[in-house]
Amino acid sequence: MPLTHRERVIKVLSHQEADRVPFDLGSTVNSSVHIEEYQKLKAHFGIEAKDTIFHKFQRAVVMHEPILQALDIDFRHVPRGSSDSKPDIPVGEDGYKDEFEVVRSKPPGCLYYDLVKSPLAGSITIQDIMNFPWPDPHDPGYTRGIRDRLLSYLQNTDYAIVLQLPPPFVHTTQFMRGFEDWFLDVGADHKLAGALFDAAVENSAALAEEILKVGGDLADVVAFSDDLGFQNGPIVSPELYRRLFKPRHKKYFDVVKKYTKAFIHFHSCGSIHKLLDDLIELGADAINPVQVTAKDMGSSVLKREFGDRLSFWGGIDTQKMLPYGTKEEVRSEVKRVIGDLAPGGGYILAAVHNLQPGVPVENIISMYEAGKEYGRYPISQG
Amino acid sequence: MDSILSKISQAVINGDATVTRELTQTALKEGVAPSAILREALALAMDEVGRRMEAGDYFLPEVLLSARAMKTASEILKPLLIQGKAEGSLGRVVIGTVEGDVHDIGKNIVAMMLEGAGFEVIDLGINVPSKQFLNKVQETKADILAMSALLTTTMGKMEEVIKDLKAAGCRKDIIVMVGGAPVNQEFASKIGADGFAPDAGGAARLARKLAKERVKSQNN
Repeated sequence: MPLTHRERVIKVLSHQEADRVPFDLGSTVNSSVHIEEYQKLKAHFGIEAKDTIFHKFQRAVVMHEPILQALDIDFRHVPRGSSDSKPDIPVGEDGYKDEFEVVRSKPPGCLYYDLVKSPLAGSITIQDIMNFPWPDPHDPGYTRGIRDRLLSYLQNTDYAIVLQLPPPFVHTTQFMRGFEDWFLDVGADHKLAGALFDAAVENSAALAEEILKVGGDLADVVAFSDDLGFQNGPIVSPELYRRLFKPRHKKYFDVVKKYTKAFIHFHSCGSIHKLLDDLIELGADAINPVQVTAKDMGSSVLKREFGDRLSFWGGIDTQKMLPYGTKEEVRSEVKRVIGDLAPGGGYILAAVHNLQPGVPVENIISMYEAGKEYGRYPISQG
Repeated sequence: MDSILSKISQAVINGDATVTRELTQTALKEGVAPSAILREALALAMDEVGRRMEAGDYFLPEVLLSARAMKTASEILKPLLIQGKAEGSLGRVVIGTVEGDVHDIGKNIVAMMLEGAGFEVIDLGINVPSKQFLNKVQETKADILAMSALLTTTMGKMEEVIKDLKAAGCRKDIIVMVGGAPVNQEFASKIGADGFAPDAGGAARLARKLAKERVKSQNN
């Protein structure tokens, strides 16, 4: 008897082989499609319905059901809501200020909302951090409708459900402080950096708790992100990560583990090989997006060193392969990555991050077709 | 004197802006020439920082702290150095992030590395319209134009600037270097740039090499 989508996902995330490798598209804000690219995908499938953006500055969209069904995607996404008391405020011609008072703007012809003003940039004190008008994590806007959506999926479908949680603190504090000041603090003012991290993680963990109280018992996977890697290495030395960052990540992970038994999907871009033991220790069950072109993130190395303790979610390159490869090259790459990561379970097929404008639609289709062709278990090690 | 120069180097490598400032002021009081501090202390320090970055020993916080320390020293030295291409300057660089792009940390590090390497750097900032690059380059008779972009959607502006330089008849008078996350050698060659480096340390080394080659060919 064929497995349901949920059964397939649970087996694979439990490091067991299922009937085939599960597929993701759109179950998180980092495994979806940019709105401009999405128009091509919609046209391919003859869809005219309007778009819903679920990550504003990345301009990533919610996938329409017919596309997810056509590609046999195993997951469905449940987002968190937004603050009623601190909604986004329009700024300038095409910009906005968010709940953390971070201002972004989209220059004409550009794809994203870029960071333009950080509320805690420049010369600040710990008092400024304490006095900052942090958004209220108990605001009902964040949790409104979550339980109903989860129940609806559970009662009417057999998809694996991914519940989106807020980012712990790295990106949030980078946006609030400004990247340059943030890195200088992390280099030379650990008191200030630590105070900011503590305030941010207290806020995000409280919000995660509220969301999990309404949905932690129903979700199959909870997903959150904090980027720790650049192309060629982690954003800070592993030693500094353990000293300054890990205790704050532990606070967040511990709250998540207290309120749900769901698999923990942790997203971090870049080269994070040197931090994977730490993330496993914190409680990550799966990492995403598996940026295979970043340093030390090759698929066979990752499986060999971490495959018994970590699932890999992503892995199909978006820097070169998907935008510039032929569909035959995409198929070969999918076959190769599946051969490396899927034996024994522990692999979810997805692109490395959101699909951007410029990716040929035939490459997206080929990726999932190749997943069907090469992703049937048993799969021999590549 | 050697020991104060190596102490300045070490302070920059350690990312200690306060000690760098104090030692630079002490060195000047002791009669060390500003150009010697620039070439023998700061340039060596930024070379070492670049090397450690490439080796994966220095991460972005360390690089930024060293760059800040270096900037502290170069701000003291700048007014004391003879302007122009005489003693103390390897040449004049105009640098900026192209139009439509607001990313600048990488560009700022490159600018500081170039200053440390001995160039006079004019930083136009972010979101710089193509014509502004052209005007500044002509106005200052710059030796190098360095452009940065972080997005595949904005890197095309680099080609536009190179076309503007050609149309204005001054392409051959200037070295054009490009960089940024989506940029690579293939792109740089395709658009007719003279140089590309994948990181800030490489950019400073390449700028020195290209500037020296240019002086050599001008003297021949």
